[in-house]
Amino acid sequence: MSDPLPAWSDAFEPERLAPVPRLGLDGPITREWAIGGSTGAGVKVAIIDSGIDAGHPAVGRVDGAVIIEPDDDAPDGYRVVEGPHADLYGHGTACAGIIRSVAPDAQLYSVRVLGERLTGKAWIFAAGLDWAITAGMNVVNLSLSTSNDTYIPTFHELTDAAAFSRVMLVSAMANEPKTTIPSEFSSVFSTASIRSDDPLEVRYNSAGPAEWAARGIDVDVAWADGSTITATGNSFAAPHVAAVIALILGKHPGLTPFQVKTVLAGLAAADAVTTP
Amino acid sequence: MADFTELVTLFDEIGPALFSDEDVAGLTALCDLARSATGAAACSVSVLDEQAGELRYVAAAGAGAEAIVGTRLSSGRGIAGFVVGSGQGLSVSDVRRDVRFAQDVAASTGYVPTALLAVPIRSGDDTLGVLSVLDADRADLTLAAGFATLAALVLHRAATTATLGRVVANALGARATSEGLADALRSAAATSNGASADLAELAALYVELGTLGPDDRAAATRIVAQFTAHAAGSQQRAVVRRIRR
Repeated sequence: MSDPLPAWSDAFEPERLAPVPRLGLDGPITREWAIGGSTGAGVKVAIIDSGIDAGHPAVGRVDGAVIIEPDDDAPDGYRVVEGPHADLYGHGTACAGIIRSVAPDAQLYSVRVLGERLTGKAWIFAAGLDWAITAGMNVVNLSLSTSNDTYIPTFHELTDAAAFSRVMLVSAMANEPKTTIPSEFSSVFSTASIRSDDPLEVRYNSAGPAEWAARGIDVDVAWADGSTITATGNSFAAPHVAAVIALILGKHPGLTPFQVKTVLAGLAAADAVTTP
Repeated sequence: MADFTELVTLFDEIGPALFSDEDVAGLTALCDLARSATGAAACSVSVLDEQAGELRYVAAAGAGAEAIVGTRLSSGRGIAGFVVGSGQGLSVSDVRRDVRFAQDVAASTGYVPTALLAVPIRSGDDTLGVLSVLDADRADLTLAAGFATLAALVLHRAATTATLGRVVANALGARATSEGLADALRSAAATSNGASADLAELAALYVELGTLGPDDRAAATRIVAQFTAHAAGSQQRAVVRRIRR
């Protein structure tokens, strides 16, 4: 049986990836240089999703949590409710558990914008992203997207704001081909899936629109009510990339998004050399 | 005077199941084709009934097909429920290791799969139903999404027919107590949501336009024609964007 590849993932088969120009640095970017010894300490990672179950053994701790919800009486039509909350579905906990396992000392922040059935409104999603950028997050995991293209200007503005505020937005492509905003914007780290046993492995596809891939096929992930499931999807590749970025920023604080992309591409090239 | 309230309720009830024998035959053939292309044990199409909060299985091919057709599943349950809620396709290699799987529904068909792949059947932003593929040799979400796009043609037409029927029934009902058809259509728009409200409003405008002089009618027609051409251009650009990928 062949792998159940989510959309956009087939471009990352090693024989299909175009060669990436070398920078001619004194030495190649290696894992040791990029992330060696880093635990993600000092890096704030927001997960915009269905909430995070802080009590799940795979998560351990959540450093901050907000719910973004509609409020007709608020000036912008929504309110931000600070304080601990539950995961309404399990999806956000899955992402948090992945990041915790790769970058154990990263600070996790839950931004809940999705409801009980994993449904949500694009403008509430946008409000959550706005909160994450304004609150000074370093990395934001977006294992969600909207296909409503009337939101292109809104997300364009938000992703630009993030890019110029050194906030790394890691955005999962949809699992089947359709418009996915903001995943298909070039300013974000758009992510698809590969089968890999190595949670640090990244692949780079300069042709886009999925620019990055990481482990996302048959991954054991934390889920609701303290459970674990085996899941496939670009939703689970994104937190792997987010976690590797947290490791990079833990070791090299202050890098800009394009510098982080350069380091990630260097890691992808290093992986391509070592992966048979 | 007929009881139009009853008629509206009827449209609401039968709307999601408003498929002709040809529709069902077409969807069944599509399921068989999808099953064959993916090397799967079975494939099914379920339709979302938002009012009832249910998915109804309307067509299937392969193992358990006869038993699943006619089955209803709460739209909050199962892998298919996840697809409806999130609007995302999903591939699960081993359903026994996924708490989302509705074991009882599968068991009732006599065929419990190991792997399950499900993709939304979409019309614009709306999810109309779910296409599910069981135990595929080629568990390819992109391929399955292609079959879902074909299924959407049938589901979209059925949904539009049901919506139009509801709007007309509402308008006829309203006309019994108001002055003209335009007012009746406006009343129908006021009590509808989304596409049906827009359709009713548009219909009301056309009724009013019909009462204007020939020059005004010609001017209005030109404006609508220009807007339609503009909208078609936008769609075209969207298509070009997709092809470029």
